[in-house]
Amino acid sequence: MRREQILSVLYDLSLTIGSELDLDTLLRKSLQRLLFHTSFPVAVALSEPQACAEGDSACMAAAIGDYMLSERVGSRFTLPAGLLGKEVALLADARLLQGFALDQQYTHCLRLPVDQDCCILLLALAEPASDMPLTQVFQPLLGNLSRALMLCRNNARLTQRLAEDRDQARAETHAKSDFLASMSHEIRAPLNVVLGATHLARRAESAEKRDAALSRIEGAGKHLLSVVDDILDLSRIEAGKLTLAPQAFLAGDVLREVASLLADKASEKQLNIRCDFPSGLPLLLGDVARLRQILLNFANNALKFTAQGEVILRARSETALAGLMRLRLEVEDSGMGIAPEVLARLFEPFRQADAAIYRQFGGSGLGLMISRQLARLMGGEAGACSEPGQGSIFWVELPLPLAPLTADSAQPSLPSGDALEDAVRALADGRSILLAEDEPINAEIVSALLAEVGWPVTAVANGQAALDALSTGSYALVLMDMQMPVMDGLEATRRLRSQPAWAHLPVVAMTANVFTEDKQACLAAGMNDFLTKPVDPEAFYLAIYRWLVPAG
Amino acid sequence: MHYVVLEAQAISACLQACLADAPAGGVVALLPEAEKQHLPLLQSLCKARGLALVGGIFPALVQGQAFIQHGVWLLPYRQMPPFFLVPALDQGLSGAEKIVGAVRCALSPAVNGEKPLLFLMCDSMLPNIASLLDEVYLALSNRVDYAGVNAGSESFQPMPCLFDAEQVYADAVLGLLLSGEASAFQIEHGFALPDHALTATSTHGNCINMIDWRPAFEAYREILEQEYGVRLTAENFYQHAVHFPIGILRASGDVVVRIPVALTPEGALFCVGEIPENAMLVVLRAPDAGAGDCPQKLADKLRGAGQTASAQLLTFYCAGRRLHLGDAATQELGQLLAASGAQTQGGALSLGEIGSVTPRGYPMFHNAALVCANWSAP
Repeated sequence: MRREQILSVLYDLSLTIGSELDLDTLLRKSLQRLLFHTSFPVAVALSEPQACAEGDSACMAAAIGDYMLSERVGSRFTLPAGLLGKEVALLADARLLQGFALDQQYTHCLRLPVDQDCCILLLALAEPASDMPLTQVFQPLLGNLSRALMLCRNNARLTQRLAEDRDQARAETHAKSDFLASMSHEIRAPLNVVLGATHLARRAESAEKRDAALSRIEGAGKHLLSVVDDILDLSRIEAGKLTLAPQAFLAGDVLREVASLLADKASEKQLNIRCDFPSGLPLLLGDVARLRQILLNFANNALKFTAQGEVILRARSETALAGLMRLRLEVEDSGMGIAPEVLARLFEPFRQADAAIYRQFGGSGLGLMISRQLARLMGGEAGACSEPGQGSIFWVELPLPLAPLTADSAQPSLPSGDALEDAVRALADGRSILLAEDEPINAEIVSALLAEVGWPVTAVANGQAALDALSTGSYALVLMDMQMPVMDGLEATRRLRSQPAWAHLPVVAMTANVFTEDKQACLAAGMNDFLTKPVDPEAFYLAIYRWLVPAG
Repeated sequence: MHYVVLEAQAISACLQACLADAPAGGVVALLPEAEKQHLPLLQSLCKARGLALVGGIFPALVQGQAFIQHGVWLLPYRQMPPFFLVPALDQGLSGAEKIVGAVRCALSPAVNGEKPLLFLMCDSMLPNIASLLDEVYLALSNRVDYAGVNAGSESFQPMPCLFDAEQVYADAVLGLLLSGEASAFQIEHGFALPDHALTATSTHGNCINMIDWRPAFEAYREILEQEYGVRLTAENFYQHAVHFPIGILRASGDVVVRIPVALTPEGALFCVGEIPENAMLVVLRAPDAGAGDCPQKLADKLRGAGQTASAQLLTFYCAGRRLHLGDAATQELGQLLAASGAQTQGGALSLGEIGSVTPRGYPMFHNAALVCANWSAP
């Protein structure tokens, strides 16, 4: 029967441990089965053994049968040398167990070393009754138990990682839900202004009241556009589709430009906004539009969260490695400051400082995240340092190459504002501008904009109609929508370009498709320029001017 | 410990004699199934005297060397030990959690440096007593020692079998935290190991579905025929199975007995007490009366626990063991009484026994065992 007894333990315990992947459960079940099979009333599992001056120390990973020990699971014990060893042994020295400081006087201990990290001890108050050597029974088990423990440890690590991933996914889902709620508010609020102000404009009894309503509609529309732009930027960044357009720039110019754009807003809040940069900052090569976007975001926030004092836009540069300059731009404010725990999550996706701030100040909560993503896309980093009540500094640091000093470095001087409209008007030569646009309201708006500057328009509703119109009329420029029925703008442009007579006719895309690949598709089809909807009149006139003004 | 006929006058006289001036006193009662209709009388008499009452209904009582179907054993306590009765164990929180919670509540006032014994009386129809015991031991460890028995009907039909002064409950556990000499319970079954081991390939709770990868009944029947010459059928199953219980093999050379008491329609063996999955099993031949020195071992254990023989021996005797031994069971009772040195013996037929075969060892749920303690009036 001895063979069966050994097999009994081996079979029973092996299958028990083989079915467990949770470390705590495995240890508990293993200890329970060991107690079932022996006359020992107490079993403990010790882990993480370390040699120390007094002998060994180990952590109590599991304990069954002794109340004092099971209360101290997780504690570390200092044990005399000789208790923890590498051999299965029945120890009959009560002094070895004194390290546990128990009220029970255990006299016997069956040591079952499982692996380097785990040792099981079975304790008894007297010599255990057994008709066979216990060491012989349990020796074959330990290899199996060791493998099971290893699987459990691996599983515990995996489970922990999965739990962390799950928690992160839940947090992201939660944050995205919050984000959607914020976006809904961000979009509905200006839409409410648009609809409400439209209603007021219709009923306006005077031109002043109508103008005021229209101004509100314009402001709300611009805000809506900024929200949509933020969402699109984020979408492009997350999809890895945002590409940079480097050009030469002077950091001081960018600072001044941003300060100029925000001067009115600063003035409304009686805040001073000023630039601080040393003379002689080098001409650098970088995506100035994206850099401006980051600075605008920082500076807008600074104005939003500062009640009094000033906002400083600062630029510094120094030589970095590999022929690069390190440009650091900062926006410092004298505002309310930010608590450390809030600061830590400020640049995370879909986060704002907190819901109360959102309710008070609004905003999509995307700006800082987009700024950091843009900075990283440019090989740099963005961050902030702040203390509550001490103001904040938001910074972006970029490694940028020096721009070659060529004629291209100098920006051509272009008119703006009323001068631009006059310049476009001056170019009118009796020819028309052909507009291919299937949406009647859009066509009406563009026609009106062109009429403002003295240019007649022929509007058609699809690409085929545009080709037909070109064959019968004389046009200075074509404004081409991308998506139209019958024939889209890309196909119409390709066919147009295939005709030598229209090889050099300026074609400007005017589309609500705003992604880089859309622009590339337009240019590849043969278009000369790319305007996005909604149309900004200034940009619109500039494009017309650029393509109609004689070269040189 | 007093044997009393279930009449108002006799019960009152016993209570008066033992507990007349014991306002915190109480009684633990062992009632035979045949007398269960008289329980309200016992309850009303105890209530009238303001005495606590708890107890169980068993298939029969032990009295001296006999099993009897009438009367009641009253175990009077001048200071009623902490007790709890947890009904509806299969509802709500896990049964073990309820028991552990109840023990912890009862333990607090009982702590006086002496380790109490948790004596459990369980409804034998509870399907998971062995697992409950594992979980209770996991939670309470050696804060208490453990012993106990199952109450209920020998027909294994559901029957409310545990009571207090107010009600009688089914699916319940009664717990008593005993101290003093009466707390040194011992357990023994005296089964010897056979040569041949089997594997319980598939089990579910109390059912052994497969043995050695074959339908359990088929394998069991074959062994009984080959090794013991017994032709087993579905009809004579319990009649024979009681003589050939299943043993769960332990490495220490011992077995934990499981008596198959029924055959399921699928051919699984239904036992009182769970069988761990993948357990190595043996088919046991139940010992003849006195074989294996069971009575002597028990008496030795009682003496080994440092106790002097008292005048009374409290004995719970497994109903399945009596069924196996028949009339010889009374001989075993006599041997036990003689070996113990006690003058009288009282107790009940039990339907499962709880205890450790080694002193303060891992407590287990057994079948076919005897549970004993010297009784001296507390």
